[in-house]
Amino acid sequence: MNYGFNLLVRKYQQKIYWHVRKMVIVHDDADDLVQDIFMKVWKNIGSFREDAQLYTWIYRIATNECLNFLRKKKNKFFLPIHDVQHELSEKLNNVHDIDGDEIQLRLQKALLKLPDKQRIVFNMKYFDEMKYEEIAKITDTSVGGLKANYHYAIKKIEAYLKEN
Amino acid sequence: MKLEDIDKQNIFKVPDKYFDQLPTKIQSRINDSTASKSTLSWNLFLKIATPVFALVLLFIFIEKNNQEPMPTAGDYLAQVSADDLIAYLGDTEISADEILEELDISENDVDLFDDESLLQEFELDDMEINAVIDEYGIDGKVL
Repeated sequence: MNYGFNLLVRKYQQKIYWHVRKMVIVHDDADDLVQDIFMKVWKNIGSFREDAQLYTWIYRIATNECLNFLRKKKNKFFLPIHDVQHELSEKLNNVHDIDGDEIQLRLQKALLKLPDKQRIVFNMKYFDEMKYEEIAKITDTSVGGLKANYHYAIKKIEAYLKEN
Repeated sequence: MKLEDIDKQNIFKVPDKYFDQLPTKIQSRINDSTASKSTLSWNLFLKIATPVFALVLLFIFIEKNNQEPMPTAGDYLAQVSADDLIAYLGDTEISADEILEELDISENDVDLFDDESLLQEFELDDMEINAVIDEYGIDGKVL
């Protein structure tokens, strides 16, 4: 690995890790995925178009890897969607590397009720405070669609928080 | 409860010095991948090159054994009938002397020419002689 790529990893590793971790919840899974993501970045850096922003391109790879991981997880165990959500929700209670009060845990559980794509959009907008235009480039979706998606996500989360 | 009432917090934690060690882990994986890729490439090359090399050797061996000698001018000439040869030579301007110079005539062949029976067919009657004289404009004194 050359010096330039090492700098790139150091610059983006935390953003990418937290982006992944919020999706897969468990540290070990996030750790594996982040390594896979940077391996892909390393292998495909030659095909990176300079007209795109580097971090947008890396985020895009990370987003696809997360969604693929969750899809495989569902297919592997022949589980319907709510069972994987339930499994991840249980891990929020069990894992020792989570430090949040009751309301924060409830918010995370509410997020797990969302479809994966809606959840990843919500995370980028709410936690990472990214612009819709940036998210649109990463997810290859229209800004209007993203706004509607985010709006519905907030409604669902608030409904969950109200019920629980 | 509204979402805006909740503080934005990152509730997840990572092991100590995780981000210090992550680049090294990634570097290690890239190095392993590069090494295994070069080994894989070499193995793949051997797997493909060995049968191709064997096929090339087999082709050369078969070609060498089946190769027939190139036919000579003599072989081609042997396929032409004597009549065609005589007709061809009759049409060319090669003189009898030139043909004789090229022939490898042994003493036995010379004896054959002494055989008078061979010359019988060259005996011409007066009419045939006159026709030849007329055709070639030969002076009667020469004969």
